[in-house]
Amino acid sequence: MALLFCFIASLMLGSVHIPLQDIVTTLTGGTPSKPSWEYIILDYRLPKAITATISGGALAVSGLLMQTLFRNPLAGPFVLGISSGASFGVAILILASSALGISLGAISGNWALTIAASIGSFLVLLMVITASARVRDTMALLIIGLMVGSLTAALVSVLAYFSKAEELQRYIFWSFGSVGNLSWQAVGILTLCVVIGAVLAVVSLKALNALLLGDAYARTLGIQIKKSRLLIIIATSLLAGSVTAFAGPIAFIGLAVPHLVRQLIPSSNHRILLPAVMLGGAVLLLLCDIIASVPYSEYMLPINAITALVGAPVVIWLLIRKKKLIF
Amino acid sequence: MQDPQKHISLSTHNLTVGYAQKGTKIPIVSNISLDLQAGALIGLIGINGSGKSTLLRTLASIQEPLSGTISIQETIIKELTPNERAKQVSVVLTNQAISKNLSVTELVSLGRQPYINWLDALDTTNLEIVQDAMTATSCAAYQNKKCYELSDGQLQRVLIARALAQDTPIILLDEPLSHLDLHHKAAILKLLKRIAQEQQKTILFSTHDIELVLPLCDNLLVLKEGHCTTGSPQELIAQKAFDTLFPSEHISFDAETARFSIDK
Repeated sequence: MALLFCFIASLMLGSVHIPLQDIVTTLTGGTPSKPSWEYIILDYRLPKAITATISGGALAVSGLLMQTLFRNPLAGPFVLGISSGASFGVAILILASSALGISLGAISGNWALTIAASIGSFLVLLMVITASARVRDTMALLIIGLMVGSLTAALVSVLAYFSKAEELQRYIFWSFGSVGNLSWQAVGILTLCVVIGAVLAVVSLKALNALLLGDAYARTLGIQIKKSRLLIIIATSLLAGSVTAFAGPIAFIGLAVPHLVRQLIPSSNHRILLPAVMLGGAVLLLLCDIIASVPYSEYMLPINAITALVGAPVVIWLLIRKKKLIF
Repeated sequence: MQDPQKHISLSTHNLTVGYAQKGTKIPIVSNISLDLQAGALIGLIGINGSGKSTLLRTLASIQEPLSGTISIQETIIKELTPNERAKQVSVVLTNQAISKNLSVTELVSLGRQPYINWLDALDTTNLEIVQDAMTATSCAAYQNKKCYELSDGQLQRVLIARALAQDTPIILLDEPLSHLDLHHKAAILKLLKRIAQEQQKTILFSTHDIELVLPLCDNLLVLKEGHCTTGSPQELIAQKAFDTLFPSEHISFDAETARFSIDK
């Protein structure tokens, strides 16, 4: 219900207000009272709302997967270095291309950014997955992920130091994240990746529940740790990786939504948590996107700032009220 | 419901346990050959670092043996799939990072995992088994509480209930009596004894409370200096196995009273 409400609200609100009636007419194939609205709804707001819904759900689920796999409340979708890998890919494209003498004009489209981000996060993930096959200790994997993240962040800093102001600005704008400006084609690919990721997460349900008791117990319950771990990592990469590739590194949702949901739902069973977290993430990111688009104004705030601005006080308030971190 | 001919549920042949580091094997206990019976409560004793946990973890297939074989119901353990193994051996471990946000029922229900499909949903039959396990361990009274609300003694019962719900002929426990006061130690010990007898399970547990467990255990495994000695408490007392269990400078054992005393 909340999701549906937010979804419709996000279609209605924006720099111009479109009445509910016209939205319904447009979605059902009719023509709204102003012809320009049809374009705004179908080619801008609808893909944006779908992207926000899918990205929010995907990020929140991957946060939950990582928190359970690492049995660590501070884990989020990006602990394995997915976003730093994507940042690195984009940084190379934007910051280093001119230095390498490649004309930026030829490769500056949104698709180029997406591809660069995908390659970057894929390479980092390949490293992490190779490591995961070798290390026995799940905690060691967490540290490796963090180290790879620091390494790529350092390389991005070096690149940034040597680049021009406008390139730097372009990079920073990408790093703000945005769920807008996606073509229908892009929305389709994003949806496909997220659906596959979600299916893998659902397949891992039993392993996730067993992991709540720690690796050793999970093993004695018949769970094949290495296989399950790989499956969970691939699910996370698909979910968080595809979102980062298309919408930039959207922070906070993945870390906070699982905590919010745990405070609200008295269950640790992933069969209940997983859909709840997915829904919660979708609602929160839609809300944040509505706020970020600042209804009735020309402005468009960076979504990355809004997610934390809206979410952090809620998490702090819940923790103080319950006086306890439920994990 | 006594089984007339007690059958061997867990046995090892020339088992060596320890760690493998950079290709070199570091054995801790070597050449263990055991036959553990159904319906027996077996204590595993030895000083710190003697390999109790390593042996238990190896028997539970949490870690690999360095050499030798482990058989369950006369099947070599390596030939079982992880899920088949989970239907034979359950464990109670200490110091695991378990999620305290689980409710008691949720935690005990996880014991049913080897028997249910990937959706991890329990039907009525499975729910009844979970309920029975909680009743048998007297933790049904607080079944709706979260684990972070429980005392150490209550949590230990819940973990034992989880192992019972897993419905395995063999239960291995790593120091189930640690962190408990004398009253709760006795309660857990009697619970284990009752489960072993009534449900004809093989229960092997490691402990430092030797004096406490001597009267209740059917058999003991004593780990000392890389070797494993087995026998009934009386046999082991007669063999003077306890006299040399600890380095002699502080502790001596009195065979009459079956007690240790500190040398003054």
